Amino acid sequence: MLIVLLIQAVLMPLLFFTLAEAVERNLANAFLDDARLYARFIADSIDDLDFELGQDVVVEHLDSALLGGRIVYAALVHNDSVIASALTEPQEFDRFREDFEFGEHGDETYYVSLPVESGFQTGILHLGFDETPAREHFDTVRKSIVYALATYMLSVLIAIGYLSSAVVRPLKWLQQASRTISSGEVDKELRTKSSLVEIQDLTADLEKMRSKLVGMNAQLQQEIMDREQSETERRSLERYLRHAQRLESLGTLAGGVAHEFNNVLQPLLLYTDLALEDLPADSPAVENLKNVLTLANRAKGLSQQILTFGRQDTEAEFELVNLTPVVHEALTMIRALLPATVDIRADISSDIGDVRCDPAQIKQLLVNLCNNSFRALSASDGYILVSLKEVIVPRKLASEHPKLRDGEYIVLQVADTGVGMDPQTVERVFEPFFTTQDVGQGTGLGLSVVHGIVVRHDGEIILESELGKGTQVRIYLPLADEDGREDKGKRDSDG
Amino acid sequence: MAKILVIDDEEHIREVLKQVLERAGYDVCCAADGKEGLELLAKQGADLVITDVIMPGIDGVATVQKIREKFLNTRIIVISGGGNVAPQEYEPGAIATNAYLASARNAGADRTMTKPFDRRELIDAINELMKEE
Amino acid sequence: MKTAGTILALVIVGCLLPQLANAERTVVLITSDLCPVREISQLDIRKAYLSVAVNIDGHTIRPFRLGGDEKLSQIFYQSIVAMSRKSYERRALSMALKFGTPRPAVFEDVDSAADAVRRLRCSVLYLWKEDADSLDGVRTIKLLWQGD
Repeated sequence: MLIVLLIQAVLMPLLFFTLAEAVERNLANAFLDDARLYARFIADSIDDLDFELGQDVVVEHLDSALLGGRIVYAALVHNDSVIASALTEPQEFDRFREDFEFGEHGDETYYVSLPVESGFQTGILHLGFDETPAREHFDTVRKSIVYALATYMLSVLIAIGYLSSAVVRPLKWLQQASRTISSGEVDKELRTKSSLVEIQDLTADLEKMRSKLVGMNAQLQQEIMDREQSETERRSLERYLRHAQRLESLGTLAGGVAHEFNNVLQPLLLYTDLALEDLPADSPAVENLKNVLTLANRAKGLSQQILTFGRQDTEAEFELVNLTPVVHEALTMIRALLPATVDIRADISSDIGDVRCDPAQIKQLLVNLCNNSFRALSASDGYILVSLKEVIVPRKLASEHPKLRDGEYIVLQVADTGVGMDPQTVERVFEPFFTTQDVGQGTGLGLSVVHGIVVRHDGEIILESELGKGTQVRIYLPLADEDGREDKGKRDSDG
Repeated sequence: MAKILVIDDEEHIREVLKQVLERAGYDVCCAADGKEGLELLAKQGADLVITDVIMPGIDGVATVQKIREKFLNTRIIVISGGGNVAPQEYEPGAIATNAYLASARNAGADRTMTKPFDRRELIDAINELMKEE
Repeated sequence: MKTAGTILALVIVGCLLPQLANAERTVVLITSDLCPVREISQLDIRKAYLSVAVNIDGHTIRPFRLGGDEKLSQIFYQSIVAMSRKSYERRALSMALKFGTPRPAVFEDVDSAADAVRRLRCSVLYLWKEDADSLDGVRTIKLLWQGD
């Protein structure tokens, strides 16, 4: 655009002068034609007049010439005497110079001299034509040219302005827009205010591309998200499976070992019992045998716990139960089992649906959890909170824990403000025989038992803990549907 | 004197049960597996059978079934190393029933007990069952 | 020595003076001696030079022009045909086409022009008086211009 303006700036003066000159030359020519012809006519009219005796007539002719206004000087020189028009300005004749070009001598008068004859007399007729009208004409023409050129310039500027806004700016904007798009920002819709069809079409096409890109982008993003999602799900499923497998194999192992163990324990206990019966009360062996019995009983207790961990149960013993009274009963028991100084709080909702479960196992579960919480608390002041309520499991949680289907569940939570566990501990907490307790204190079976119970109830257990803050264990148990069966519907439909 | 048949694949269990029961005044004979037990039953009969359910050879529940079929009057106590009985009253540490034990009960066992049980438990159970005659 | 120098200077200046002074000059119209035409009006001269057939006493007047002298040409346009150069060019052409007579022939120098005048009876030519005076076989029939 600037180049156009520059060219105009150069062309304008050039044009002006060219035009002005052409016009002026034509005007000058016309002036010359006029002046010369007119001079000729006047000379012709004075021809054959008696210069000496008929001077008045001559003067009359000269006057008449001047009256028109175009002639400002008229005089006849004859034999060194001058017959001038009465209307003429006095002039110095020795300095009289004839003009052959318009504007010659710069005196604003065009002088022509023509010989005139009368009989044998010859005189020279001097005429002076006023150049000023023509001059003014020039100026008018010049001005017109200037106006014309200025108008032209203006229209060029307007055209540039129009082009700039209608074409150049939209194009620049389009260029910017496509750059923006290619750099990744595809969010803004492209719309142009231009009235040019071409620009509109171009914008429309670019917009189509952009929205396609957005679509593709969105699609890609969605795919990535889905993939990530399924990846996350897959990973958590894997983790769960590994965990479950580990637990299962351990369980099977434990079960097998425990079975043999019991077969050993049984005779051990009974033999010792019989031996004690045979011995007199004061026998030195009695004490030792009593110890043997004690230890054997302890072994029995141990094996019972192990067996619990490893077993598979059918649902035959499960009943449709409202857990509210069950939890209350368990709490009563727990309060009896644990020292009175322990702050046990409860938040039990009665507004819950029924669950298909074995109440005894649920109570067992609560006992184990509260036991653990109690042990965690002994290092600090705090409380245990047992809560029971009905929830709807959100999709996000369900995707992180494969055993959870989104739907209605009962949540039974045991939370404590005890010492908490570090992440490594949390990772292994459900493993049988894994314990953080000192040797001789914990068997490491409490939570694995709990886990087994939860599994058998088709639920899920989520443990969260923070060192120094405490632990929450949440048990999710599926609500039974109206027919008393478990609500498996959602899982099947998810496929 | 009442006759008791003990069926268990573990020798020491047979031995110790024999001792305990004889001291309690019963006549005891033993078998190592279900097949042998059924033969002994057929030959000598018994008032009560104590049998393990998890044994090599004939499946314990099948043994119970067979006994029940042939010997309607014989009491059967099923003992198992792999599970606990649903207790009469609640005990801390007691766990749910073993499906296997349940099916044994369904098959006709009068009582189920989990190893290891102590002498008192066993004798009480036997006395109870014998009384019901 | 000094005196000789002064005299030389004066002589040179004296020779130059005529050039410096505005000498008055005259332009005349000549024709062949043999042409019986004695007088010709301004109008006829104009007509002839605008390719209009001019006949005086049965004699056809043929116009010749002299080229190469700018001042002479200017005087021709101003005083003889009374129009601008451009107009004359146009006019002469259209008149020649209209009336069929050829445009006035233009001669580059006085001698060839004079030759033509002498050969073609009653042809006319305008030129400086001083040039005309140096020619023979021709006669001035009109004073066309006087000035400086």
